[in-house]
Amino acid sequence: MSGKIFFLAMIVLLSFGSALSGNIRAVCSTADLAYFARVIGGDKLDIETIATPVSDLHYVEIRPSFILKLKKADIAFKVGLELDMWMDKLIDGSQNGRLKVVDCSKYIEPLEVPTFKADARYGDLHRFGNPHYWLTPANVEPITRAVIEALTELDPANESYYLNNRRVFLSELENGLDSLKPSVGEITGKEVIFYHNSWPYFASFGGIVSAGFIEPFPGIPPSPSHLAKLTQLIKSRKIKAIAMEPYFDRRIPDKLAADTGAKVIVLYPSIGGRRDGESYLEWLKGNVDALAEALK
Amino acid sequence: MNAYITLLFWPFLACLVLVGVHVYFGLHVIKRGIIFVDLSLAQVAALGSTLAFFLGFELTGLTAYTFSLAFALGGGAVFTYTRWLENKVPQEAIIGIVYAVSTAMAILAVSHIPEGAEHVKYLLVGSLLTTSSAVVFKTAAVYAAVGLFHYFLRHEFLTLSFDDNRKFTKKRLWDFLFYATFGIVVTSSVKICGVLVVFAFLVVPSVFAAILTEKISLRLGLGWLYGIVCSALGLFASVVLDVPPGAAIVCVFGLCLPLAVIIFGRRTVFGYRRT
Repeated sequence: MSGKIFFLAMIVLLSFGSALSGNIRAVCSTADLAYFARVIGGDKLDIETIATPVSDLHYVEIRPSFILKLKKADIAFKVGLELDMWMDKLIDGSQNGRLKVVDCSKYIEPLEVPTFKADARYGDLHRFGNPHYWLTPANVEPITRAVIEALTELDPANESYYLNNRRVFLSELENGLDSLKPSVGEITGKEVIFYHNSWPYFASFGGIVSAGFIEPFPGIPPSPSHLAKLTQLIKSRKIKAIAMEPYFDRRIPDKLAADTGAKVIVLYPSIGGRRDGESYLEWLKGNVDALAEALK
Repeated sequence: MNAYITLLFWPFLACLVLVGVHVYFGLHVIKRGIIFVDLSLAQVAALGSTLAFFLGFELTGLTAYTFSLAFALGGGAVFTYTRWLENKVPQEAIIGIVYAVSTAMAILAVSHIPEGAEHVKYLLVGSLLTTSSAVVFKTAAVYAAVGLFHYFLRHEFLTLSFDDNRKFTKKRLWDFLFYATFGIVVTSSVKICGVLVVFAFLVVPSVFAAILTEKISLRLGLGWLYGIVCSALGLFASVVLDVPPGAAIVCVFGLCLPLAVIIFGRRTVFGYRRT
């Protein structure tokens, strides 16, 4: 029990600490947004993150500390496009009137926006397009634009500091992408089976062809006939890789692999999933390398 | 500490409202031996909103709510009718079948809707921590209406569940009214805190009270006491351990029960007549 009291006391002290430091208190729904906020906000920002880098971002169980974090926060960053709808619940639940909510999809041009009239039979989750937009470096510019815009509104005095951080980050990223080119070349044009439709942005970056999904529709478990079709497809097209997110059950991908000779690899949809503290570039390289290895 | 109080204020009030009506229904449910009726009706109600969703209505809209209510009433009608099979098969068997089939039907209905499974999961999990004042007031109003209805007609409802009701007239109508009002209650409570917590609110305090006393009014009072104390402890545990409140509440409800049985179970207390 004394451990718990100590823990609570630490929370109180830490929150006092940040209040005294005069820093902006930010809560980010995902590890990716926390990464971007940290890169731009630097030491002017105290950042809390809700979902872990290996959480399924479609569904996060609400804990009391999440709401307490938002109660004390000045600004909240969410992915938007109806991916992290639990964040909206948390924001409502925090009843924090002075909280600035930033939808980081603001300047994104989403892929896969339904062209037909968004019939409710297709659910409402993807009516604004695919929400996994941070998976291509091409979207780092619009994401950080939304972040910096909100930060300078809240803290205009430090505008040049934020702008400079962003400039440095974007140029480093650009240089890093050049060094990544040889590995990207190994995966370009190759066909891959994905578990869930999280990867269209990553596929567009790597030039990968997404040949099919284990889920017939996002969030729907495969039927036997769908799996039979996939087995057929993998065999006839000699597809070498089945890519899955870390939080899915391996049994179905493993069975497909055993039936076809393809290889199951885990791709991480969030920064920090493969290794704690990795940079955007390291995370991207990790996914590219894992795929290149399987496609050899 | 202030932040914790504001955080837990509305969730705790929601618990009070829920405990108030569920403990009462729990007395009936225990006595009738239809323990899993709430899971079954909740699933049928969820099937109703799922179907509305399938037909193109918003999952949280009024149409979906009407659908879920209508389905819950339909479920109530089924249970009313099948009570006549009671001497051939236990009512729990029918309740179980309705649960399994309506769950499976909901899975079929969403199997071609992207992220459909997520939507249905939300329906049955609830989210106690983000309960707003508006929801608490609305729910309290609905439950008060149900409560008054049962209070004014308590003679009929109590005779139906607790006494020898062989000579009772219009049994079927009263049975249906029981299941219908119960369906209304479960439809809104599951949306607030999920099936697991609703089950705990319904069954555990009533079991505790039934161990202690035979007197119905005393059972109600003891059940409420148990429910209120355990809800408060559960919410407190949820904050201290930083775990989901629903699961914490269910654990506290369950774990306090053996304690109570050890303390009181082997004694004759509160006028319990032992046979």
